[in-house]
Amino acid sequence: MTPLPVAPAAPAGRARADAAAHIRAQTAAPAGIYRVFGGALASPIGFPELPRTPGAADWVLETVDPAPAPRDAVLLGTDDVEADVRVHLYRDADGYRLVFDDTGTFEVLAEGARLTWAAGPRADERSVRLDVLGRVLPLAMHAAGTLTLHGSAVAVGGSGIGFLGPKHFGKSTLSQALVAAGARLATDDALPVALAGGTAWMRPGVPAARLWGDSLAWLRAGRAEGSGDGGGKTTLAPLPAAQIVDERVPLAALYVLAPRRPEPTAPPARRARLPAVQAALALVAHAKLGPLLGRGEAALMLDRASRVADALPVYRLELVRDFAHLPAVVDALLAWHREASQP
Amino acid sequence: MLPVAHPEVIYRPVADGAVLLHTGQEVYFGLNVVGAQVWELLPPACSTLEEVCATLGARYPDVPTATLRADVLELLAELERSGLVVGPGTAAGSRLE
Repeated sequence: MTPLPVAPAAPAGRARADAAAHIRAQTAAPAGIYRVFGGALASPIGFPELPRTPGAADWVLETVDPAPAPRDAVLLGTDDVEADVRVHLYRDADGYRLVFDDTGTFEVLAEGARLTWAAGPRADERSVRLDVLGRVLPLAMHAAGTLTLHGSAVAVGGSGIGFLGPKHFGKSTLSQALVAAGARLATDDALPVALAGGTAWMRPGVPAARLWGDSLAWLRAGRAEGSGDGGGKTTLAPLPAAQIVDERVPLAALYVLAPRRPEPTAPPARRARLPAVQAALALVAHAKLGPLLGRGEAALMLDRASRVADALPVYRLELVRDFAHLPAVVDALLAWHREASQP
Repeated sequence: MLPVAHPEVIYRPVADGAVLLHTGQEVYFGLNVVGAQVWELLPPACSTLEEVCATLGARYPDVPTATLRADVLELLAELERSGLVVGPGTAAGSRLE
């Protein structure tokens, strides 16, 4: 198994010193147009983790000062960003508005195509980038009709497979193990799914995996060592282009991870297709922005989840979450999907 | 009299049934194929339990009438307990039959 490179250590947590102008001046990558989520983001803020791209932007981020006054705003939901930072989502007559305690206010306008940012009093570069990639752009895609799930995904051959589950269920580890076995990484956190022509397509997300310490140690060493959860997550360095999905691909299946203990007579991985009713409910439960979108957008989310559940198989994947069994889980997934992708 | 769908409930059919969502309470409820048919037969499609059972009986002639009626009543009771249906003309719900 190929050892994985590790990016230079990023500062832990969300530091709280810089203001917006300072961010733009000191950012490691100049402003420009960046490739992300299978589209192009024009931004005055540099995104050193993203490749630059020529051409027209799908999303245009502008800085504004101060934040425009909301018009008839309705609070949709609130979520924890970290222990002492919260984010509130409002919908008003113009679109959506994300208000972070620290980084400031982002507006999502024009069905997601236009984004504004008014810096908050405790904004810092890394947190702003995380907010844009983790919530603002997924909200922009939501505004444009996409169902964005919380999950990781890879492509096997020309088809995508996605993994859904709560934290610590091993989504990132499984994706990285599949990449080490020949798959391409599509996303590690936000998995946008859109329907076109009766087919479910996945858009690539940010292909920079973050792993818990034990998973990182196992993948770098290529051997089994324990299965507990480490401390914080470490961000892996970008993968080579050949190991990344950069275009939208048809989605072959979604898997809802269900870790279980080893059983002497059971295989390390087994899957069971969920009826469409259960599949739709599972997709709603794993919506990336679920807590923020809340009741106000629940009907819209159910509508999209129902249509996706009708368009592709959603499986419950029972797997032994144990590094010793991970290669067998990878083999099972590759066998299912390599066979399926044969002409 | 049959209960009616709560006005805050939306219904989304899928390949093998349907999902109900009470938007006010954010309660989700899955229905299988027959359950979805029962939902679709609630008022205004039908106005009495007998009409619902007769319609379903025509679709499932192998199912004994008593079994079918008991299953429909059980589902309606569960929908009522979940706040997804209310008695006709009331906001607080009603007893079935």
